[in-house]
Amino acid sequence: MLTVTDLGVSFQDAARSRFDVLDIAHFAAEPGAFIVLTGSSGSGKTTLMQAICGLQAADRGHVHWGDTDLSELSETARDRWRRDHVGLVFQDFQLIEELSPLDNVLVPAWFGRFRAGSLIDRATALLREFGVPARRRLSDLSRGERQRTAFARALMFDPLIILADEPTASLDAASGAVVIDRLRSLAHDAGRFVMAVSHDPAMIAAADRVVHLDRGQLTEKATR
Amino acid sequence: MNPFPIVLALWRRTRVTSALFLLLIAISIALGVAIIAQERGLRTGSARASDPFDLIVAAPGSRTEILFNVVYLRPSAVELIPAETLADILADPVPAFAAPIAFGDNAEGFPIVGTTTDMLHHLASDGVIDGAMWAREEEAIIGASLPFAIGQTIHSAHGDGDIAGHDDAHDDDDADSHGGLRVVGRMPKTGTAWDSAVLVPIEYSWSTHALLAGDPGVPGVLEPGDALGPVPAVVLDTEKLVDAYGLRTRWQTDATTAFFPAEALSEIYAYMGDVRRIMSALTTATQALVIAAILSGVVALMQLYSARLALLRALGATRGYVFAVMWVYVMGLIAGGAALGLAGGTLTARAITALFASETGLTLTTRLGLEELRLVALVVVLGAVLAVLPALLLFRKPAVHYLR
Repeated sequence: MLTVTDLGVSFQDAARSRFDVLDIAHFAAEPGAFIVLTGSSGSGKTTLMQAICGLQAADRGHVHWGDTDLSELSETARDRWRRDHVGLVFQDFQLIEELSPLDNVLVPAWFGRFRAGSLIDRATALLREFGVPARRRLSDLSRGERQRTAFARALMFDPLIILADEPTASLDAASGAVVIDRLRSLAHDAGRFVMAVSHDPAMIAAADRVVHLDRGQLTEKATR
Repeated sequence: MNPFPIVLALWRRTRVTSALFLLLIAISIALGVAIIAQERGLRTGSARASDPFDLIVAAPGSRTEILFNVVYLRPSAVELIPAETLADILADPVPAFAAPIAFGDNAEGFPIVGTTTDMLHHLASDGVIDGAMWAREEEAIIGASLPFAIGQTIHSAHGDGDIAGHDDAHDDDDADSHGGLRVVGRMPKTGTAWDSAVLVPIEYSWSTHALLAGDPGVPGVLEPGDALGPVPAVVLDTEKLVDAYGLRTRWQTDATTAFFPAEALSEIYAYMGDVRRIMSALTTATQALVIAAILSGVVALMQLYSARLALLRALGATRGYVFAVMWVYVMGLIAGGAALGLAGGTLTARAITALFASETGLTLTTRLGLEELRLVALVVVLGAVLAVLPALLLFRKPAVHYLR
């Protein structure tokens, strides 16, 4: 279960004065729900996603995942926790062009002790499941195949938490629908915690919960 | 932790720049390696070539010049030892033998050296002279590298080297006695400049220049009472070192100079050493500048690819992993450049050596030595330390800085 308490994140502007980006009194969510996060540009959506996966250190407050308080972990410990527990999907896929789809999926595996055989088998199985050729050049893949490769990478360590930043923004409607189905399935069928930042009406319509960020503050817009 | 696939991907992404970096490092190291290896090869080769010449006695003059004349057959105008003085030297009972050396002519562009059978046997050392020894003045024994065959007649001319003598051949009036030289034997390889020389009895040199008055006796063998001519130098061979020192003192007179080739060589080496030190300092400075320039380039490059590295952090890579990626990336360039430079420097030194050997006839060998390996190790260690800088720059900033 995710519990965010009194979370505050501020940045420094060019004039070296600080301004608040996030100011969230309380937010809680259970695995198995598909949550969509909306908000205008600059409202703090990406910062919230980064804070709840431990990438962004908070100025104050706590982010608890079960018994783990991310605010208490060192940066290295947060990195390792994120590798093992979080799958990130980006709007522009963020794949490494020089690597094959298989190697892209294997990237998080290289951060730790590498167990080649079993991890390669897992990565290959994921790509097969997503219908992406493992050894083709990345430049030869369609946008849909690239997004599915990014999904496979996110699921490499079978994470409990899936965070997706505008995952359908650069896809056509058909490919977007596949992604939405996949995210819903990960939440409902696999019992993962799934949160996606999106302005896509189709995704908002498919969400179990829609939370809105406005100048760093959360409001629940709709609940399924 | 396995940073290598990401490093390989980075190299592929920056392949042109990386190749340029690699090449710059390789060239700067190759220069250093080539200078050191070449200088050492030249030093050992030239020292080896002077080994058969224990003590040289010549008319007073530049020792370096005499050394180049006698040992390396690089002729220049030198004073001659008068026949009377030569007779005194030959009469000295201490040396195992005293061999006069005469030069200044050529046969088909190759230097003709007039000397004695003692000198030939001494030079041949344990080797066997193919064919026969001189029986007549107009017979020649050729150095191992010469392209002539035993039995062939070659034409001699005044002057030295390729440009001399072609329009100044010993004229046909002289043909009966000195117009041609019949090759009767071939020396084994000695590794000296004499491998490219045409060796004739000393009497031939005297006769062709009309320097003899009287009967010279058996060609290449100087007996008491034989007519003698003046010569540029005499090589003395002794069994004992103490005898050589005694002879050196005895023949250091107003009319003659006596010296060990090593003495003249050490003066040349001292000069070469100075030049090499300057060159080495320049190449070391070049290497330092190249590495500094490359590190600046890498820092600029990494700013461009910082979002890529931040992605790794987002996916769960620790700072240590990103640090390792950057360090291996830079170290790979430096180590790869060093390896290429070492190979390139060795090949360059060998090419220069081969060119020099073909010019001088000396046998020179170029092998990698500790000094070159130390130079390369220094560059690699320096690179390993400096490679930390770009890695640290990326290491210090939080990943979200690049993800924003």
